[in-house]
Amino acid sequence: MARRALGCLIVSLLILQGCGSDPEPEPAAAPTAWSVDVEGYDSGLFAVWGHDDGPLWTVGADDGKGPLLLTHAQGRAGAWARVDTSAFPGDLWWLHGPDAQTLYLVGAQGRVVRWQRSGDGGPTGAQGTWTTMPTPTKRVLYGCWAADASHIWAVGGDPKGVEAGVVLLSDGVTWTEVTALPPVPKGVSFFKVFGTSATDVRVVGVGGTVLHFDGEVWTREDLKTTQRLITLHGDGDLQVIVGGTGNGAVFERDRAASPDSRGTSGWKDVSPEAIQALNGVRLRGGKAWAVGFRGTLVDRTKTGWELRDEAPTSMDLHGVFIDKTGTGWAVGGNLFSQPASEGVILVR
Amino acid sequence: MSGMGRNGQTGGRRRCWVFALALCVAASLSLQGCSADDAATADAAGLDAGAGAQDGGTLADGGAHDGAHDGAALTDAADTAKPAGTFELGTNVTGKNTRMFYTAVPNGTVLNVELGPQGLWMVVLAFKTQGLLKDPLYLSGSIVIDGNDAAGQLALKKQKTILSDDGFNYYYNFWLVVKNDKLPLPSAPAGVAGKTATITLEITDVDQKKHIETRTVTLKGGPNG
Repeated sequence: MARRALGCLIVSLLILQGCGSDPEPEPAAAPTAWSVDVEGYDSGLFAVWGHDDGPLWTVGADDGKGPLLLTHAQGRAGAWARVDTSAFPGDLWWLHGPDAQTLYLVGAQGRVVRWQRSGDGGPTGAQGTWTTMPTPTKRVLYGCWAADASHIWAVGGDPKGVEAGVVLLSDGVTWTEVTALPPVPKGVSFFKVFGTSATDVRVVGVGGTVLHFDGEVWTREDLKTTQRLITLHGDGDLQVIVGGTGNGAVFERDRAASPDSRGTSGWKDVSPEAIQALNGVRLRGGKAWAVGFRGTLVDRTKTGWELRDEAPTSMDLHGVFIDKTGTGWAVGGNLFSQPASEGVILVR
Repeated sequence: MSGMGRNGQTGGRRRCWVFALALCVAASLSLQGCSADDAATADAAGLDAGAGAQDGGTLADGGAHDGAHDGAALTDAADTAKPAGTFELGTNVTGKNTRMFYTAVPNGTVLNVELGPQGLWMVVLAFKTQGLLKDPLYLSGSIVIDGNDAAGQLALKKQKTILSDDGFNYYYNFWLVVKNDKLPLPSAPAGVAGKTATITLEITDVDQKKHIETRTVTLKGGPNG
């Protein structure tokens, strides 16, 4: 009897075990396609970036509790952690820093916030102090870029397209407005700034506007387009501008082919056919990825810029970054809500 | 004591039987639990099959589910015997992607020209369709204002529709930017409000099947609207 009971017990346990356990999970392979890392944040996200020796940061809209600012230890396991930003309300649009110890964030009302790392930054590398820096503008600052610790640019404009665009320069202490700009139509906003050094800086904006600074003079480059140019980036000799008025637009320039940094002949319109307008682009180590509205994900391939098939999100994507491990990060949300909402982070 | 012992031995056997029986019942329930999961999986597969069958096939299991892509869709499709393919041009509340924010755009509709978050003036188009087009779609839209100005064009490839709980596939947020190439900035021409516009949307599906819709609408909104 006891044997029967024991037999029944063993059978039962085997059955229970068979029913309850899932197959052994396959070891996770390095992702080759974009997938959702985190979604469902109240606020939309606009930018993602991190210095190679510091944590990753992503920043976005203010849902009333301060702009959504998240940090993630780069190259380490762990979740994104929210940073308390209640001391500097308003949307924050972009971020960049000259080193792992300093980060600049720019956004609404001409706001610039500087983060200065404390010691080694603690376990996540993100511990530090936050300071709001005075600036001479109340226009929205959409982009920033630091060539080094004493050359930091921020650009922006008027979302209603009435006031002129603005370019600011900081020596790390004080922000001043750059006034020696070439004439551009009133109401042209500048969206992003990027360069290879303090003497090779470009600004892009509304109406196909591209301004170049060679360390002495700002000049306007003619890309023969009225497309809205949102973001630019470069790696090695390749420089890329993305944007679009309606459909997506991509312009490329090979510096090796156009050694004159002020020359405009090198820019080529390489826009792929029939894609959504693009908001973000990133180049690194031979990779060139762009993102845009309604979950648009685009790669630069041997045959040109191609729309990827996977669609992990229908949200609007605004920023993209490739970290030192080659991992891609893309952020966005519902950019058509006010404030931007439904933040999402993709990983590849 | 002995009686107690015998009784105790009998009780022990009984407990052993009861224990064995309980274990067998547990095992049986476990098996049932497993098969219930399997059934749920099969059910889901059935829903998928049903959803796919709206291309013209008959639908089974209609109305057995509530929610999702689901019962309403299947019931609707099964009961109403719609003609082989329907299409309706519409609009939606900007940024939303559920059918509660969708409305049809028949001829004569007053359509809003709104300022998008990208800083561009645009009209928002959408459509609902059933049994007509197979994803992915190539969409090409245009807006002509006052019959003489190609004010906006947009083409998008590899687009996918969303199957909703009414059995229709929806596409939302086709942002057709209204611009004025005569201006240095690609903003909408001032004073579009009240003007007549012709909107055309051409859809080409994965099998190269084309469908074209045209509407004459009255614009409102815009920079001075």
